[in-house]
Amino acid sequence: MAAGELRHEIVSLLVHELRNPLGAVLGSVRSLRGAGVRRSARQRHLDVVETNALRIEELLDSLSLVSSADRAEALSLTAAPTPVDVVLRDAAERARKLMGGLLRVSLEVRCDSATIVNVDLRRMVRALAGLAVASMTFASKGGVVAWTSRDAPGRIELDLPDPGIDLHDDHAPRVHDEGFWASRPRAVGLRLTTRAAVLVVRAHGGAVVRTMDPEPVLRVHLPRVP
Amino acid sequence: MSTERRKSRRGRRGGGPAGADLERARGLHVLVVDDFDDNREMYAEYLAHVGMRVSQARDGHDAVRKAIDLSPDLIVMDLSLPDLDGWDATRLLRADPRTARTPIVAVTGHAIGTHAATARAVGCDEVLTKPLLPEDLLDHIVSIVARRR
Repeated sequence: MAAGELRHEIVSLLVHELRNPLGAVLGSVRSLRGAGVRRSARQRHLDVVETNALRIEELLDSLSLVSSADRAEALSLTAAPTPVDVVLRDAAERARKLMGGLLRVSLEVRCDSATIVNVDLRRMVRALAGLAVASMTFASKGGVVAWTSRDAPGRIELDLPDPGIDLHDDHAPRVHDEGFWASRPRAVGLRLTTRAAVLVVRAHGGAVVRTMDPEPVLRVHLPRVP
Repeated sequence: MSTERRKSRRGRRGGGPAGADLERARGLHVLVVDDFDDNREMYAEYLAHVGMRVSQARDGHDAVRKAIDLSPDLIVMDLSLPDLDGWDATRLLRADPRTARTPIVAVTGHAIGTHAATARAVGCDEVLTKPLLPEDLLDHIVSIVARRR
């Protein structure tokens, strides 16, 4: 595909990805302005506004990160030693907000709070939440997804169980495979989010791999603070 | 949508069509198809609020199944859907004598390229672009139903 055509296609798909959350925001604001909105409905509309504003922010952040990487610009990080449970719990909280009413599974965090990682907390939280949302968007309803961490030589491993972006196991490896995503243009938002998350993890000296253990897992490796 | 029409909507309190057309539309059975839950529920809630009976589907296969089983009076169809997209779902519905004449309103975030033309070519009666307020959707539903009578 010619570069101009590809750019047109990407812009078209991004516009589509932005219109859905924008529609939800505008609709909820319109409802909130109406007379006689019940307290429960008011809270629900506010939640819809927050969730969808975060989705728009996520998409724009990811676009900005990926665009910078494509121009070979280094990602600037403000890293500090941080307990891994803080990273995971903050990421889980953001993932819950991003999923909003779409959260079809219960999200739990199981980790050793004594383990310390050197991370840019804001960027890492967004990266992990983005990975989680990408993997859970089309997950079946019900059940519990538990995020866990474990020590490994020189690093820690964070396991984000991957209920699947509506995929068959044979599609692995997935998150790094450009060809796979190219065949699924409607998932461009998820693709951007996932690619941005992988960039952030790599900038921390880590990696994201997909493995079976025995179910599909996105395993994030991060250097451990000795 | 014309600028004049937009202006008239902004100036209207409460939104939505008024009078006999709306009365005729009350009691219609509408199937709302969208995989983006917040939007689907927003449309479903609003249409139910004005007196329509509403069913919902979140993918193309579910949409085709429900359209055939429930025989809605009108279908609101998102185009980007998992598994079976809105274009193919519409093709299937148009090919089935039980749903061949059911009005289908496509509501989509695709505003660039040939998406809208393709949607019309496969049988959608109207193609509307998101973001679309529920009362604007109602306007179009009422207008399509009025034209069909």
